[in-house]
Amino acid sequence: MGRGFRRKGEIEMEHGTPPNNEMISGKITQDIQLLKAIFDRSIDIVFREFQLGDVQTAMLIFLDGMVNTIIIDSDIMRPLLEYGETMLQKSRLSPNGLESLLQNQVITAAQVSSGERIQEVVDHVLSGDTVLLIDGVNKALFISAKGWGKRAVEEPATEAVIRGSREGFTEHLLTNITLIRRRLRTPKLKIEGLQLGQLSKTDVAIAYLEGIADDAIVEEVRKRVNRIDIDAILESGYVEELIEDNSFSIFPQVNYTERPDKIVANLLEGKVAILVDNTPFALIVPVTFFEMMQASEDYYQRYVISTLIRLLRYLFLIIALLLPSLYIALLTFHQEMLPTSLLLSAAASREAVPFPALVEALLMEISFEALREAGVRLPRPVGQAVSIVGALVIGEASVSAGIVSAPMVIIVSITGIASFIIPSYSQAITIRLLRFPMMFLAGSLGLYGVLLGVLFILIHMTRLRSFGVPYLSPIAPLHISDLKDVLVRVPWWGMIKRSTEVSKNNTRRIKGTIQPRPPKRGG
Amino acid sequence: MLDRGKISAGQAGALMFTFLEGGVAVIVPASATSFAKQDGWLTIIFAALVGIVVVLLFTNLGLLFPKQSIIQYSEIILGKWFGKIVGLLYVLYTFYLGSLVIGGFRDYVTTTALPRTPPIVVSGPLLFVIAYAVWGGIETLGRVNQLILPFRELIVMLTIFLLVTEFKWDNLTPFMGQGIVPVMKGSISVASLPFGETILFAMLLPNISNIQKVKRYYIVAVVFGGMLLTIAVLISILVLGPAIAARLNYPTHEIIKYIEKLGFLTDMDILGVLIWITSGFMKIAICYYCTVVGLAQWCRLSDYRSIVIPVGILLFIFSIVAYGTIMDDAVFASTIWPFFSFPFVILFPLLMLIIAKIRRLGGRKQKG
Repeated sequence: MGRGFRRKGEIEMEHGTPPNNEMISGKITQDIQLLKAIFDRSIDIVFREFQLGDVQTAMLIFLDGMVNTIIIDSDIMRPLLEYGETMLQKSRLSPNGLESLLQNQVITAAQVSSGERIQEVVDHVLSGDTVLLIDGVNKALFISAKGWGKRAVEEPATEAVIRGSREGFTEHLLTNITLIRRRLRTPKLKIEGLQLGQLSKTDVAIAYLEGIADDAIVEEVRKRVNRIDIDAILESGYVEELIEDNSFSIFPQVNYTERPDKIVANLLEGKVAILVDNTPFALIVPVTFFEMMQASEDYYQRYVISTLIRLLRYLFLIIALLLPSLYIALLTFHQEMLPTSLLLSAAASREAVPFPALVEALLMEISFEALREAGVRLPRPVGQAVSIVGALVIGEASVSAGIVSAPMVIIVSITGIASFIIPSYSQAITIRLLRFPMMFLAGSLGLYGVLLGVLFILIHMTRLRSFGVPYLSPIAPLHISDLKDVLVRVPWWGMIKRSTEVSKNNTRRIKGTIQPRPPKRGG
Repeated sequence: MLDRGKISAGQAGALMFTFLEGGVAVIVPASATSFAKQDGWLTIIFAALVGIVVVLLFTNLGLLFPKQSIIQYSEIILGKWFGKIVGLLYVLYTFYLGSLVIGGFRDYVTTTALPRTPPIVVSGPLLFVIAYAVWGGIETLGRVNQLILPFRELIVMLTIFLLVTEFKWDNLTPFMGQGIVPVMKGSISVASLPFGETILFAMLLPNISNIQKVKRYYIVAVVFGGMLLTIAVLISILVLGPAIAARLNYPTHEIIKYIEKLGFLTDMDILGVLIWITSGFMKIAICYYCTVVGLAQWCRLSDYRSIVIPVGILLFIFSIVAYGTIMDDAVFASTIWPFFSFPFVILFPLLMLIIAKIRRLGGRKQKG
């Protein structure tokens, strides 16, 4: 069904630009004219003309701001001007062309390649390379002297930890790859690159561990990513929506993170990571529902603590989803379930409230969501003011004005906090959204409606798959050995095998028993 | 095969257990105690033995044709015309059973939880959710059941634990006070109602990946299901006494009201609705699924999904027509249903098994 949305005819983007199948002619004036026409009306393009020896005209083309001018000065211009004359004479005797002599003996920059087509020149200039054209030579040299303003590696803002690495991904793809590579010094780590987006030409990398990741999944990822044909990829969210299994589902089927250690941990479990240039968020596939409930810190803390925190998270997941609807159902349909004293105080506080419980809850929940959204979008100092006004002033005033009851304020606050306990933001937002249909069901059919809603959600989740892996595995379908890392987190010496659904061919991660024990006495 | 989804024998066994558990709330406790009074729990033990016989019968038959369901191999065994007729009867049996179960649970929810809600508002959304599960196929049913089952049994065990203080052991005496006859009468009724209905699982056999283990799992499911039903009836009698338990429509629901612990755990009976509805949900889903797949096989359709919604609408309407009131149903279940279901549960499978053995039909025989 989703296929119809993916491609609506061919995208017409080449419109207006001249055809660039032409080869470099070798006559520099002609080539320059063509290139200047292509880069018409662009203030950041630089054409630096100079003389190689006395007669030969040469030209450096680059985009100002995307190159490191120090490298251009010291490793390109200076050697060219110094040795240009000698090389020119040498080239008359040697069978090799002038450009290969320059490439091999003069230019000291690390990465140099050559090409013959105008389109290549354009592509390299746009990706930040410096292009050298020489009169009389029908080849161009592409010298890598990239350098632009980059954000330093900082602590990830969305996934803070108490214990664990403080490095987070940046917007620069190569930096991110380095952060992964530094944690996995093995040639088995494969990072395949490709470009997506007809206009943006965004670099995308698919990373996996050969021999651990399931080949079928890697091939499926490759296939789905290669199928993407769009004008631009600005964030990994574009890729996520274009590769997920069921695009009509509310549940996220692709995980994302800005923590390199999390990516590496997932690679070690046989997952595939997709890194996109210009965004610190890398994607992880395949993913299950339970993995989104895990934080990287679970594996760094001691296992008892991690297990308890994990159980707490599941409890609050249920609270985030169901608490308002349970409250509505109890107050509207099943008052007898409440203990008498609690019922009396709830009734007393609701006496002045003119709305039914459902309307009251909807009012509060929607204004809470609005407050949260306002807090996210506003500049930080203003955001604080909003939360103070929202939480304290409005909450307090609306209770004393008799618009909402005090228990409802408690319910909404607990629900709000509960939704923040879920580690994955996309998961949390799903749960928050599902709360609203549950509230309507509770308001119309009571607990029976809530039960039907929960059953519907569960059925939907069992039907979901992420790259062929059932969304609710390892509980449904059940894999008993994988339960060690779902509701509980067993100690590291117990994590003997990888997940069966993801890593099919290479499941063992620990050799023998490494459970620590004290040395034997007298031995 | 229409549904390419595969479930393991363990999942199929879990489905059967839930299917039997679906009888805990509705009809079974009442019909068990109405005949045998304080020995009601005993009737279920006898009935479970019948259930094991039924399972052995249809698994032995099904294992002769491991790639086909009862609708399909009835044609091979009984010939085209007679086989078609038997196949259609099975489809109608599952359909009728499905609509009765829907009716039962609809009444259960309206009387216990939502007294002022129109019954069709209760059964409509329920059927909608079930249709969504059936649309997903046997894999979805198996997985959802696997997901819910442990939590439900946990709550059931907790409920039993909280009720221990309410037990009055005198309620069980006199043991076999009226002799064995009422116990046997009750057993026939109970054997036909939840245990005989397991014949539906003959439809699921071709979807089981490790089919050789299925007999064991099915028998284990009947044993555990029988145990659960026995315990449920036993507790109803222990808490309420045989006279009240026999008179109440939903004794297993009413006993939950007796929980009064810690000052705030009172009137928890709505929890009973939640527990029993999840098992009733699976029971209806299996009836629904078997009807849909059976009909699709009978009509030789290429995909069963196209008839999920039409059959669902028919089930919805027929559940209103077929199911009158809880009193009608109780009488029906104890007097008519055992004789009505006898051919489907025992006669036809036995006949087919004998004919298949005589004619030396079936995969295993041909190999040997």
